[in-house]
Amino acid sequence: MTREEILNELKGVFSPYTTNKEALNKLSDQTDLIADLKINSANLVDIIIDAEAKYNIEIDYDSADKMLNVGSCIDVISEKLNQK
Amino acid sequence: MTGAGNDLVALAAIDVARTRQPEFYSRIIIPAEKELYASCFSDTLPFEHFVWLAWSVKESAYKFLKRFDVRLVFSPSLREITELRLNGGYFEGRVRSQEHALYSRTIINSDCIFSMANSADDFSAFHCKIKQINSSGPEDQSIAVRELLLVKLADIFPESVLHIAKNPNGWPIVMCNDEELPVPVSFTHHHCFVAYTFQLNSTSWKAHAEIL
Repeated sequence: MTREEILNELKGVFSPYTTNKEALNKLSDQTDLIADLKINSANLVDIIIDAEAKYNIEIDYDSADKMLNVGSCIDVISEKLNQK
Repeated sequence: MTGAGNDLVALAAIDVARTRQPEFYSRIIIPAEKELYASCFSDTLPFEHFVWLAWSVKESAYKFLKRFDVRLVFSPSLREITELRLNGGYFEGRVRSQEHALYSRTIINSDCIFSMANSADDFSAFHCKIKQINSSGPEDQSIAVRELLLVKLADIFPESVLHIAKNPNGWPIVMCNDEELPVPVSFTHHHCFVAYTFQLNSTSWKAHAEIL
């Protein structure tokens, strides 16, 4: 999968946890999940679990800690997909 | 270290079934904490409440320590609640975060779990308040928690015009006559609840007097 494809799919992963639909429609690598999408930190674990299910991957704790903006989420998902 | 860190979890917003799944809770609590729950709290506290209590304690500790290390990453599985006991209406805890040991106080009621952290086992200089609002929107939460804090600060410093700003690292600061007061503040919000915590000590009073 390309980074752009993952980015577009991530909109669906983030959507249940953000009310900032404008920021969701303008996702970029730099979009911060908490500061820009206003996702509550309590939902960060949900996003990791949802991403694992969507891509059938396992995201280890160290990788999960890095998933704070869209670019790092794509990096982690790409890495895990390539390891399959 | 003088600081403030807090966190709030609205119980209406948690997914109980998901919280009880090992793949979920194992990202928040470690096996030793699960054993702590089984041995001390399984009769009195639903498991999902314990998981979110642990989350709020660890997030509070992270917010406290982040002021002293801006590169710090929130990683709940790397922090451990080493002690937790019920003392009257609240939980007293001790949480280890790498080389630091912090202390916590947690209140659980029917609506929410609220924690705050300090570097000392003394919360006598801490002030906090929780409020339910009619919105879960981020902007409304932000406005409401600032208003709530300013009402309290106006009681304490009635002769001053205070406002809340953000420092370059993103945490809230209390401003008086365009000078920052040494009053460490932490905000938290989740769903329809907001809360503040601040620490007020002799340094705060002295600085305020000097600014005036």
